[in-house]
Amino acid sequence: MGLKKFMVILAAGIILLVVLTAWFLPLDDDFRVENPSWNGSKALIASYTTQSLESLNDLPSAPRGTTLILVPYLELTSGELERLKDYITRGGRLILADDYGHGNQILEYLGLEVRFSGEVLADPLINYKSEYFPRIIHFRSDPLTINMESLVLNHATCLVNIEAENAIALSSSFSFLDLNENGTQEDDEPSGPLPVIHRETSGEGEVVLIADPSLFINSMNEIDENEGFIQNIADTTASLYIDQSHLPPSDLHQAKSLLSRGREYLSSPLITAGLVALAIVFTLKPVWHKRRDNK
Amino acid sequence: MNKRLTIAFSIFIVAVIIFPGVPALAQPDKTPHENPDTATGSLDKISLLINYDRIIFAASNRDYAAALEALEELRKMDIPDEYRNIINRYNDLCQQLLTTLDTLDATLDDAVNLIESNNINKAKSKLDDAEIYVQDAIMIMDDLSLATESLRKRFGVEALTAPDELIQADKQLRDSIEQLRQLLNMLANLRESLNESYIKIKGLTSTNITLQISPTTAWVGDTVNAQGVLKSGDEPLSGRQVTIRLDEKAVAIFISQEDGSYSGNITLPYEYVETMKAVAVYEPQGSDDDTYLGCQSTEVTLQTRYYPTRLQVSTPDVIYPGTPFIINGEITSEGKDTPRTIKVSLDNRQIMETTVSGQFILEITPPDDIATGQRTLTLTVIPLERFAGTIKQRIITVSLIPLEIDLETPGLILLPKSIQLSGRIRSERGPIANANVNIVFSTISTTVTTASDGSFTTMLDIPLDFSFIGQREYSINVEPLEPWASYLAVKRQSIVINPVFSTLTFVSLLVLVFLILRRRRTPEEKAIPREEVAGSTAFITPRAPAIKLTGIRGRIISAYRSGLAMIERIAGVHMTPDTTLREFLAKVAKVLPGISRQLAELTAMVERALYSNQNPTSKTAGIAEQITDDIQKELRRGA
Repeated sequence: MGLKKFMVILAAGIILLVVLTAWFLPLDDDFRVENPSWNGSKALIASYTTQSLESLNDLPSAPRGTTLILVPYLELTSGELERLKDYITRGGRLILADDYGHGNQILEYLGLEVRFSGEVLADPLINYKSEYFPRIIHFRSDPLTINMESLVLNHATCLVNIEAENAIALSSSFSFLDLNENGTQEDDEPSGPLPVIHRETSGEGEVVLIADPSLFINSMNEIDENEGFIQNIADTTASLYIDQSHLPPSDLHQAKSLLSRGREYLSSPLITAGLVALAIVFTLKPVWHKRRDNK
Repeated sequence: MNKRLTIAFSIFIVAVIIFPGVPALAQPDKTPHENPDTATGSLDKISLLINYDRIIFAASNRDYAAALEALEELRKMDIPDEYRNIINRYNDLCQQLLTTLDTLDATLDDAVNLIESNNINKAKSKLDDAEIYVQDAIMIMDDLSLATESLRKRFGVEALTAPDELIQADKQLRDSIEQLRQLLNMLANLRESLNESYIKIKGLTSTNITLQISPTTAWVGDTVNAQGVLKSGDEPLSGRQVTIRLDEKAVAIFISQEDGSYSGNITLPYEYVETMKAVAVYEPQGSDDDTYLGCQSTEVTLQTRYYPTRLQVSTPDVIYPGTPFIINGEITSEGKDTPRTIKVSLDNRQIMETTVSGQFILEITPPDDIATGQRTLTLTVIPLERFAGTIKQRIITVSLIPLEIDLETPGLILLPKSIQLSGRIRSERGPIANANVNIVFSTISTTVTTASDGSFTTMLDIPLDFSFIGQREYSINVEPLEPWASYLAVKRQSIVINPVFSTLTFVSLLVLVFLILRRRRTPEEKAIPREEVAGSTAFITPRAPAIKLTGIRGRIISAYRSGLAMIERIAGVHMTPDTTLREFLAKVAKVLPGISRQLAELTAMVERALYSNQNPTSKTAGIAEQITDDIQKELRRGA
């Protein structure tokens, strides 16, 4: 076998293997509703009537009474910001769950003062397993905190530019912002109680800020009363949407999307008919060759 | 060509290695989360000591409330089993000590005020209590010091390997405990000092005061007369300020007359209670401070009267956002039927304020955006002069009315096809108009709005695709405009057949099967059974392909072939597939030199017949056949 033939067969084999792997390998991206492992959000879809959105263009036309959960790990375009503002202004509820993403871009656009700190919230004493799983124990009476005694966050941040007494939930007084991420509180590091959940009205709707999107991943669901908090969100809305279009796409996700788009493209009537014709030509080729030889 | 392919392939491999790292640039710069199941952690001893230090430091600055609040929070800490007992014990001791110090501090404050107002009897009682608290605090402080030593040992503070931060935290904690001990000493000293003041003022002249109130039964808001006499022994004290207190609140101040008497009216506050306790208090001021002790009259009980208000209401158990509901009720109270202000709120959100009288019916519309679930409905009747207020609370459920859909979908769909979907959305209240109905079928979706009778009709153009036959799902999501209606999501299924793709694939398969079967029937293509190969030691000459040899070239090749079998058998040399004509000639010439010349000539003729552009003549074919005959004769002779 010549080198050329070998390389062609090898390349075809690799491409086929990559395609099959990409198609069948389970997605393990953070917050993806298709991801059933610890860092995915499949439990959210499985437990509640939730629709995932691949684009903010798919926001409901009548937003009143609906809730959108948004984890902004990618920057929003000006068009998306405008759509989001329109959604809230007309009565939708935005649950903006962010820690180190682009949440402040949205808050700035909406004209709200409150901001995500973007620094790591640590609690060396009131925590679940380690200081980076702070246990939230202070709640203000609110429909979202009904029957809540504790929530556990996972590598969270905190909210700034709000009065602590206006926040729905606050970390313990032993918590602090670990500015240099050494796990120990220094003199210049702000200490708790620090606000982690807050609600603000905007237009006819409202914005609920949660300083940790990890509340919505599968593995955090059954810790303390995290599930109860999500239940409270679901109980206070007619329909729940979760945005997936602002999560960083992994190679696997991109490959899957590419394959899906390819499949959709191939499913168009013209291409389908062409491919079928091609398949028939290849299948009948030996018959035509034989007939020509016989002649 | 091969070189170019190798370069292209190398670039491909390098790209595969480099590009997977590119999406990482879009990730947040900090860890967004870690797996809680695999996360590990241990007790942060340094932070615990630092925070004990902060709590005790706050207490030593007499901020007991903050210290106790922090201590209460600390009880929610997850403590490893090995440290649970000692930390819980330490927390208990801290709490006992802080509570005792708080009480001691407050008691001494009271004692200071009482001594300052020369209220000697009460001051004595407070000082006695303070003495007990001081003794308790000293004992607990000693226990806390011992517990701190135990904690230090368990945390390994004195170990050689103890980190500097732990040693530093321990030092700060011990310093704070020392500061707390100093606070305790200071409070004990204060108590001693107050006791000395008490002994000193004990020598002051005592006073006494009386109080009579008339009438002792009155309506709230009415005035009653208060009078009495302030004396020191038998000597009346004139021009002194006498304060009248009702349930500890000062309501009037009178000045005593020449004979020590005082008198005046007091207005009963609008406090809707059965009784009020009235006292007259004399607190020496100015030069009296060094002469007289303070005094307080005996309590006089005032029977207060007011009209209690009763509120009876009946409310629905379930209400719906934006939908009015009725509250039937009745406000009753003794006396005349007075219009009353009533406020209605859901949880803490006021939704109505109106004035009613007697029996009433309220039509209340809950806000459109009220959250579903159990809510507290509160009706508050505001107090009005002699009429007391009242509150009634009811737990009611805010719910949404479920929608139903009648959907007509085709049971069978042949692709491609435009299908018509129609249906009707309704609820127990009737048809749902202007609702958005979103229908998703595979990758196609459409949204339609319902008509006034709740009906909708839409078309879905379903194109050809790769499917064969199978069930497919419609997702129908209904978003009603009515705030009381719930969101509806249903799924329906239809059987979809793709006739074009199914037929073409079926035909292709048939052709394939036909070809395979035909190939198997061709005798030349039969494979030699494995057993035959294994059982035979003789070399098996591959069969020549079943090619029809026609024309002059065919005659020459046939002539070569007809002699070939005999040559192979006698010479024992075989024409294998990888043997060229010349190689075969060379091998045979070594074994059968007698025919080498003829075979060489015949081989040359066959090569020309096979590969030359010039067509051989029939004469050449005749020569070839003759040479073959000659070879066969020679071989027979030799055999």
